[in-house]
Amino acid sequence: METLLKVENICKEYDGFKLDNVSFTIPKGTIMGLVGENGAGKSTTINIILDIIKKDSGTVTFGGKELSSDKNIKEDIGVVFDEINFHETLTPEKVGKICAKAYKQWNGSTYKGYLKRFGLPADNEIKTLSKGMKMKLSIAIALSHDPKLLILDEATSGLDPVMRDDILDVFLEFVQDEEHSIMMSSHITTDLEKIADNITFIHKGSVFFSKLKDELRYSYGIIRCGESDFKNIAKEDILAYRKEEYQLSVLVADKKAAKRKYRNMVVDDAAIDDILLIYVKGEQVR
Amino acid sequence: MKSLILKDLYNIGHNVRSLVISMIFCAGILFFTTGGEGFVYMSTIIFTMMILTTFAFDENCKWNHYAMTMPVSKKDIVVSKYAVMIIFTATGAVVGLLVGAVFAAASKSAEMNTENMLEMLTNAAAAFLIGIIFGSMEIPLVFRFGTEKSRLLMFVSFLVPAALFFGIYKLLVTAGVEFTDALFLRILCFSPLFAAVWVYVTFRISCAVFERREI
Repeated sequence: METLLKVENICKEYDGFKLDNVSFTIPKGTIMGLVGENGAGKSTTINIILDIIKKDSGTVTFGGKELSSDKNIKEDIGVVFDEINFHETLTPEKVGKICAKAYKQWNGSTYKGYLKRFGLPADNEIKTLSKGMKMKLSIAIALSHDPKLLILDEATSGLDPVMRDDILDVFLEFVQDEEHSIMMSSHITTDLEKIADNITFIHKGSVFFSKLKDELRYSYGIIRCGESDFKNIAKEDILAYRKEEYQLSVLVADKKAAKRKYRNMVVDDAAIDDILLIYVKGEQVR
Repeated sequence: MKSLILKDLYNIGHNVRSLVISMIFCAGILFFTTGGEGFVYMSTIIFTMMILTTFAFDENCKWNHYAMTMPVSKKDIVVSKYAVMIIFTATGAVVGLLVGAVFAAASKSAEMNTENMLEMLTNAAAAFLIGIIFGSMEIPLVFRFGTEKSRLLMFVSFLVPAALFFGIYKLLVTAGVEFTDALFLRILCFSPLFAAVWVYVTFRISCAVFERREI
């Protein structure tokens, strides 16, 4: 698959935090979920990709071009943050007029189409809209200048499940033609489980892994066991483990093999949340 | 950049009603004290100061952070703020001039003759230049310190240019230069050039400050 966005060895150092050699790629037609605990470096990574903050080293290429070399590349990138960034007294209509002046690729009829589809009143001030409606307006803006890549930073947080489901449908539609891609940072990992193709896990400023979601979903497993059973698990089978009050959760890379090998133990499917918790709050073995 | 200017004009458009009310209030006081002349200066400065309000709106909705995701550079943002400040100042001077003219025409004490009109035009032009100089000082302060701190530092943007002009004046007097009416007129003629240089210098400072700032 052709690569749309390539992030290579980006580094950024602040007092008490270092983004360390972050690398990943986003192929065309795919959705990448960016996960990690608060302060792991997700937003810093996004801000560096968008050239909002300057990186110390590394490269970010979009369609083969260094992204920071030409501001016009941003015509092809739609961005949605966790809140709307237009002043609350503006109306969707005025926002459309502002964006029409900002983007050469702005498509007024596409924008009007999204306003209609999302049930957004063009003449109402932003402050009168609900949080979900504001988010839909942000998405309408991001999709109306024909972007090739959509970057979403916690865009679905704070929305109810129905609203989130509507929005996830729009995202799936966006990548249907195999030309568009999405990079989505979210704490709501169930959303990523629904729509993401790849999951990149950032932990303490480094990429912990960047894998196909299906590999995590179908290969990874969690052995639930007590202290005595834990001693019987071969070290080479363990990726990480977490001690809980009454049991241990042991992350393994091959769920089927673990089921065959440790017949007396319970081996559960691993959700993204579980994997994250074991890595962040537990002990990493390999 | 047009989008950034349009955004500020739309944002401030919402404040027009409160602006008109405060202008009427001030006009009422000034007309009975200093006359139309004072109103031109007040109107211009009030309009110039609205640039601070646009910065406050931007801060509230984290606009600059979002603007950087658009095909817009940090320099574009700085240019747009100067453009908006000049638009506001010019509007303030024109409003002051028009209201002053209406007042002069309506007032029995003031006569509307060519000399009066010329004086009003000169006052409006002087108010415009003062507004531009003041506004240009304010913008780098806001880019450096943010809106809240800049409100406190606002007197600096009055004091620095005033102290600078006074210092130059004193220096010239010490050097034996005599300030006659003809010299004052010549200085007045050169003041647009001076204001242009002032705007350029503060613009470069604003660009440098904003470029270094992480948003």
